[in-house]
Amino acid sequence: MKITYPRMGDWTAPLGGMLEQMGLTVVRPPTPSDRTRNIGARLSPEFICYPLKLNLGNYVEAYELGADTVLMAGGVGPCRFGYYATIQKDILADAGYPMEFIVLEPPKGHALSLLSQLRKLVQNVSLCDFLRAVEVAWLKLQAMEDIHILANQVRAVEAVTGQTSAVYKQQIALLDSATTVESVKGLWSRAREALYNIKKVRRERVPVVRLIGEIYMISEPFANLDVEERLGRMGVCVENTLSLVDYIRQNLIADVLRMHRDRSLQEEARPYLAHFVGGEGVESVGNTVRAAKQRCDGVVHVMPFTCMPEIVAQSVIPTVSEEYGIPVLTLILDEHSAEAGIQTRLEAFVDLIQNKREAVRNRV
Amino acid sequence: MVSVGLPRALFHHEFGELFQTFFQCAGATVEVSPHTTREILDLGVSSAVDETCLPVKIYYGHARWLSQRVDSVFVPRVVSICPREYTCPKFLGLPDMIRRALRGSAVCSPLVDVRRRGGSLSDALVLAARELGLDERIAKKAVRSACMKQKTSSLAIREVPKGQGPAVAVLGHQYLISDALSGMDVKRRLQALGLTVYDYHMVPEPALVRIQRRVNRPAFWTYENKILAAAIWYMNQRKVDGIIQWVSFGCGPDSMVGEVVSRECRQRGVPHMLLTIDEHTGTAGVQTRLEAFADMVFWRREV
Repeated sequence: MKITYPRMGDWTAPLGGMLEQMGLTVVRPPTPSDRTRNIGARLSPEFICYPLKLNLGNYVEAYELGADTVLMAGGVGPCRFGYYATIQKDILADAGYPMEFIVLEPPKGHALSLLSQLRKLVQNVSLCDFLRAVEVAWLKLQAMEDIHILANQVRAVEAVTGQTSAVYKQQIALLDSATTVESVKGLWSRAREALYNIKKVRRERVPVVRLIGEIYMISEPFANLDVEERLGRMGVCVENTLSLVDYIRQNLIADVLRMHRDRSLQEEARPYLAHFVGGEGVESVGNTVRAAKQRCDGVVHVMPFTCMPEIVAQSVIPTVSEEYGIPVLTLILDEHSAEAGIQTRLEAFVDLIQNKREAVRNRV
Repeated sequence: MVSVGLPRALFHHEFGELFQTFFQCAGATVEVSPHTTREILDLGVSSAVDETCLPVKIYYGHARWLSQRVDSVFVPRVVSICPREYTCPKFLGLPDMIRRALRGSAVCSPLVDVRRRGGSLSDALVLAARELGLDERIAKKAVRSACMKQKTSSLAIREVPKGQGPAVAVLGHQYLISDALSGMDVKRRLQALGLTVYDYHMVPEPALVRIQRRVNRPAFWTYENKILAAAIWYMNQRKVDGIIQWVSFGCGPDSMVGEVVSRECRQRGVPHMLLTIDEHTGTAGVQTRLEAFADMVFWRREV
């Protein structure tokens, strides 16, 4: 059995590392390229959402590298993601890439049942080693998120364009190769140091833009056409609302420890969207409100074309934008999106933010 | 007397009789918006975000048309009408979307969610009556008579057509096919070409349930499950010579289940056509494709 899994930016690397450490043969999904996208778009139904298309491309490329099994999460709706595995399996089989699917069903807020599902895959590893691999992966994920946040802050003020991204990439790769808790901790602080040491320019207050939207789209740079890096190069500090660490804490660990789940995002969204709509719809609205309250300069909302929960969010976010006076740019992306168009829109958006800020300053 | 507006779109095609009878019996003045016209559609298109699907845009149009004429527009939040299933994410957020479009007009949006206690359709209606300030006791009685009326009207659409010639099943959301604009009278058009036309209402309910259980992993959307099960049933029973799927552009659930249906059709060698409808679709293009499909069905019979 050679396992692969859907790629979500760098965030799935700890999962790969964990499975390897558990003794499984893992085929890491290659970084998506135009080829990945073309394969995915060719095999997929026309109006399916973009993540499914890129996933399919990922699987085919992993298949070519020898993978025969896909490990992924399931779902119970109403977002289409819950039906991904069923349909992807059929499509792959028809196209001549027969693959087995191992679907980890959403454990109704229970990390233990998820772990026991995983445990069944790797019975020849001692429980001790199994748990250690989980611990390393968990720590790695936290380290990566921390470095990611820092990199976004540094990129906005870097003296040499592109340096931050280069250092970031290097550090993530180093972290990925770590296999013990101690080495992760050591690499974590070294990565922070490397980012601090990047030469910076002095600037008056850096504009802050919050990135919200569908979870896959904001985590996979290939899918969102490097929106974080583009904004960073324009001197904007991007705050990505994606946090898998938070997500796992809230949805998987909270119930095990009988902790109180944080519902504050839902509460923020309530006046505008009072019911959950699947996916990250409510979170997108709540994050917009929160960004406004925390005086961010703008919000960039990224979603795949035809995404149902995000369409609901997109329909009500203008109300938030009007009431709080916060600019929101919605980017709807799929395999047809091109870099030039996105670049132009982002530049215009950043101009708008700068002008708005100057107008406010002149009034004072 | 309080006046209630019922948009003739989405759920109205399924529960219209129920809603109308209920509010009338409960003592409200009821206004149902007219059949969809180009003007209503334009109202909707101008207030909805581009990415929403045609039926939701039509719903926006009806709601806006009504908002000028009634005290409150009835926009139920239909989360689930079958245990363990959903309708569509957009319906879950529909009242919030409509509220944004109507800006200030009153919207009455009780929750219909059979996954929860007290979330049935009749509970929701009583809740709506309370919200509108209607007498609750009368409302409870009104629910009963409304349910009776609903039953007789749903029997009518289940009636199976009798015909000898080739038959096709037109599968799609009822709110898309029954609408005056987005349905384009597809059934009548096919009948005029000499075909017997079936839809998913004509499949006996127990058969649908049985097939749904057999599908290896049923989807979690009520209507799509029905469409898939109906397609399989019609092919198993050898009742149809072809299947036409009528979907709206950008429909999320249909994008997946449509794929499954076409796969099933291909495996069994049954012709399948997917027609995608949006606000730009002209009837001439649809007519041509229907004619071509009908020709093919007749030729295949002759061979």
